[in-house]
Amino acid sequence: MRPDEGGGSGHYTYPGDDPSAVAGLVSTLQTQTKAAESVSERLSGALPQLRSAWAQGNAGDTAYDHAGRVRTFLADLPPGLASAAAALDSYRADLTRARTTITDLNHAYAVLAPAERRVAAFGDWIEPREEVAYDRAHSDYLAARSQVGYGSVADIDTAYRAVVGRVRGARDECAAVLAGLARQQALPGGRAGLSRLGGELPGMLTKEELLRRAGFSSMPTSAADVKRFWDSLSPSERQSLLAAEPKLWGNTNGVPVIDRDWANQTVLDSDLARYRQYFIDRGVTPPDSIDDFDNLTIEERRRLGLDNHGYYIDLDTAADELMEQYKDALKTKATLSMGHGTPPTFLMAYDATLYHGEGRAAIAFGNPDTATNIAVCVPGLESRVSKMDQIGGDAYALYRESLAADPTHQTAVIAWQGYDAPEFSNVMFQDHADAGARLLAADVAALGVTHGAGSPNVTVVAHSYGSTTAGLALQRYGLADSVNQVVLIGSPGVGGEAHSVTDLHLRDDQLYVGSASRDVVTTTYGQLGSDPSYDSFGGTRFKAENVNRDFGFPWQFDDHSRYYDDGTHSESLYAMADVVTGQGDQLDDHGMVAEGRRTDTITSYRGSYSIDVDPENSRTPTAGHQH
Amino acid sequence: MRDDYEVSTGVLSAAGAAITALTPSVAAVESGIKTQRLPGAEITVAAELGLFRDVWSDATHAVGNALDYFGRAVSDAATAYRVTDEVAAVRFQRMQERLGG
Repeated sequence: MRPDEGGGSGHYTYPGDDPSAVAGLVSTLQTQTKAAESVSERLSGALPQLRSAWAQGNAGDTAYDHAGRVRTFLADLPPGLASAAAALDSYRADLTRARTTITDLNHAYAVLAPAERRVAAFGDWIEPREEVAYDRAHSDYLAARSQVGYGSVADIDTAYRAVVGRVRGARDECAAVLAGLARQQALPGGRAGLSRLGGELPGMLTKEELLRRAGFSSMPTSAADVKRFWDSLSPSERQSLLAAEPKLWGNTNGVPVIDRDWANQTVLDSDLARYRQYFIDRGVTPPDSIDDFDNLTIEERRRLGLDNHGYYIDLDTAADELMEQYKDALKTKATLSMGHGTPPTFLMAYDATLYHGEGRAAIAFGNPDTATNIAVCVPGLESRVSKMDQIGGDAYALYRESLAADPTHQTAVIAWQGYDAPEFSNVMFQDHADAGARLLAADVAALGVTHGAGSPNVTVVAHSYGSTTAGLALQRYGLADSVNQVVLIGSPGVGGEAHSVTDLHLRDDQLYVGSASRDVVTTTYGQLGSDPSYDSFGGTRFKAENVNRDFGFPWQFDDHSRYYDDGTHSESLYAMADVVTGQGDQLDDHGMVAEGRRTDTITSYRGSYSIDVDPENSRTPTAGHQH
Repeated sequence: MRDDYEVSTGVLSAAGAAITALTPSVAAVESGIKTQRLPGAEITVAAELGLFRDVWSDATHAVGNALDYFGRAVSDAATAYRVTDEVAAVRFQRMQERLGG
């Protein structure tokens, strides 16, 4: 037996916290207890002065009453701190005693274990020629037992387990006191870390005052400055800002993901209530799902103020736009519960009013502020928040496969509907991609700012027109500085003037490309820049053929939407999980590297001409790839 | 509403300043609580210590804010009484002069 707990040298390790570290806490808390008592006494000393100066009058009475309340609150602090110090000190004493005992056990083990092993080495049958040696070994063993006071190593193991049990008990007692003290001071029903005093006592500063206190003359613009400001606030001050302006803080880079999530979900719930009320006010039952919109009668549509085209994509009235926002909210809500709490989801960005109701949102599966591996999934053509379940479904599939690829580290995958994706009508232009590229670069850069460890392994996974967006973010807005690798799938082109990995400011081993040979988007577009799946581009093409791929010519629409396919455990999803978990160098070993597209020159009696060749088109797709 | 007043502005101002002056001490207590951390261990009170630390530092911060706010309010009240008294004195002085006193 070798219990694997804590530090210490010798066979048996020390369980529990380091008693010297706990002693440091005790000392600090005792100092703070005295300091708090001193403040309390000085306030009590100032009150008679206040009373004598303001002996008569309404304001004086009110001020004196108020001072009494502050004094009461202040008086709570010293005993609370003292209780915590006492609990920790008791825990420290138990830890110290445990360490002393374990030191003795280690000594006993060092004496007894070799003697016991020597006896055991003779086995059950003693050869006559070994009897003398055995008798000596056995005699030594008996002497060792007598010396250490234990009958066997198993007895020492039992004693060690008892010590570990006592440490656990001491931990539980201390933990119960600390948790009880936290509950005593916590805001009932409030978020973790909020105290009741934060809401009860006056003196909460305004946003402008808090900014000034942190040294900012106006709202900071960089994520790093926002983080610095946020770190300067107490939990109650943060909560006060979040509650006052949830839309602002929920969409501000530099604010931790947990706080952004609270703010955005507050906005989401408030939006949903408002949209439902709009229906109720007009005598129409509010939809609970996006499908319910299709069942509205002409009369109901008239009452709601909708155009009667039969669909809402036109967004040509305020009511149409409101309906789109309602759909955004419903789909966002549904996507947040996609994993049923495993992993926890976070609404990192949410604003249904942007882009004529198509909205902006980002949902993380897993917490990006604590995850080692982070992927940001960028969707393409015709994506919008009212299709968040599709983007979220892709991200969730990648999350699960990535977690399987690297179960020892936390993973977070973000469904990033963070830009105004184009429609079919304007997909051939790069203006939407350029606007989105700026937003993408800023959002990805901010991940490192709020990350606890500061250096997560970040992958951008961009699909379709999203790869043009990511390509421009790499070329123009410094995305390469914030990512470890980039995956482009179903790419119509990387946009701009890039013709190689170098033009994207990446190394060869940072770019991975999934391009199904019959995906219409990868084979027929030409206006959105270079195709990164060509060998000449310099990245690594991974296998992305799907067993359900369509037969025939390389102009298949369905093949454009199979990169995240987890139903067949597709090549592409498996390969992307390798990359997201920082194992891109394993693709070859896993048989996942594909030959790139190329252009061959054919020479005949008529002259020379070029043809595009895709070796993947003739390869038989495979399935069942799981980590 | 009461209409009897008795205010000593000098003492009131000093009381306000004394209360405001407590704020840095409370901030120091808050800072001491906020630094409470434990290195990793398998059997540990780190999680409960974190809960305690966050809530109690928040409470202490609120007390500091309240003292600062209250002390300034008292000082401001003293200033307001004094200014009101001075303005009234000047007006009475002018009134007496106009009446030929």
